[in-house]
Amino acid sequence: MKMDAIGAPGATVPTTYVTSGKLTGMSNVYFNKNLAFSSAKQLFFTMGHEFVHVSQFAALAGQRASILTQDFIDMLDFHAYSYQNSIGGLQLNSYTREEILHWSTTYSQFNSMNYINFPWSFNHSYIYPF
Amino acid sequence: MKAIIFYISLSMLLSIYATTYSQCISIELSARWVKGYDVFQKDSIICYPELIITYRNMSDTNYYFQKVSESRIGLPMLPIGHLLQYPIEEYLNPDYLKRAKMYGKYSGENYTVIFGGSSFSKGWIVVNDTSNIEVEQEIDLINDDLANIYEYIYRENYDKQRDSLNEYNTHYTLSDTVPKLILDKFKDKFVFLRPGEIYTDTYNLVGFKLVKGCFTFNIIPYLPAYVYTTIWDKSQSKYIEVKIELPKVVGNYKLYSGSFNSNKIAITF
Repeated sequence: MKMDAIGAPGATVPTTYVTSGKLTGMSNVYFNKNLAFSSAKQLFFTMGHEFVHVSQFAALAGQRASILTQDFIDMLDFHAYSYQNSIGGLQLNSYTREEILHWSTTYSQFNSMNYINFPWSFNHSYIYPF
Repeated sequence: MKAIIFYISLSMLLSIYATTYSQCISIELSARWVKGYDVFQKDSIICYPELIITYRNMSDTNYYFQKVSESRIGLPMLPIGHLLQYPIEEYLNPDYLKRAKMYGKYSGENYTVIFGGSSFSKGWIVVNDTSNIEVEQEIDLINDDLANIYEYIYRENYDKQRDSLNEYNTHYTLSDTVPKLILDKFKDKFVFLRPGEIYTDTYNLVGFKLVKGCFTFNIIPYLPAYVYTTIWDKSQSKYIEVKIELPKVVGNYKLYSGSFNSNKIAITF
């Protein structure tokens, strides 16, 4: 994978049924050993981001892999980065109103892909443990 | 005994009729080489192939039916199966050229290119021939490489034409499959052919030339009489696909469903 080349600390890869082209709801998560483990905080945020994707793909089970266009992936990432923001990992103020409006009006999946819908994503924040 | 012979004869006649009937529509694959600009060096001219899909009506009836494949302005659509956690700066200001140039080389590998099937967007997915299709698996990385190449070409050359709302849809809604919408909003997703007519779509294969490998393009020779919509099931917290029948008649065209004649082609880079 190209994680080092682009500086990605993690990646999520959904699985499909080849014959039907449908997403199974399962996915594999990869952590870049050179980046994800650089600090406890980095690992916490990397895991959180990827686990949002895991829950998103669980909810997308049965849908066609062909929905995974660049624009749809950007929408999934918007929620994952927003989750990182919600737990104090990022300062996100660069999304334009137009972008968010575009995703929310274009994709019926927009709301169900939001991290607030996943039971594990409530009521925690990053606390430096050491 | 006479009744049995009658039913056997009738079955044979019907099967012959069905065979003849199915031969009235063909969806044919072919390729041609064309000259064009190099993807990454616009002052250079290169040759690359195009895939041509020809829809042919050899019956004496006006037919409409679903396309087997779609494109974005002639560029194939492939899924991105690896969600890389880009640094936030890259996510907010994507460098599509850099992403496109990071493709791998797949020389010596054999792939089957599967067309859209029953999906809304009728994109393609590339499957390595060594894959065990009986088990679930990750989307092959070659799809990401091709998707990134075509995303770059699209944004570099055609981004200003991003005006089609259908480009972003992921499924039909329950109220979409009415003749008025099929003839208007969704007309590009269907083929309308009078007797003897043909319709062709062309697909740019420059991305496949870049990544290399042997690709077999193959159509599943069956046109369904339905499309799918997707419904969010609250109790299961997941999406469920529901079939919606297509209208039997749209304008002056009857719905064609069932088998058709086809072929497959292989291109090695």
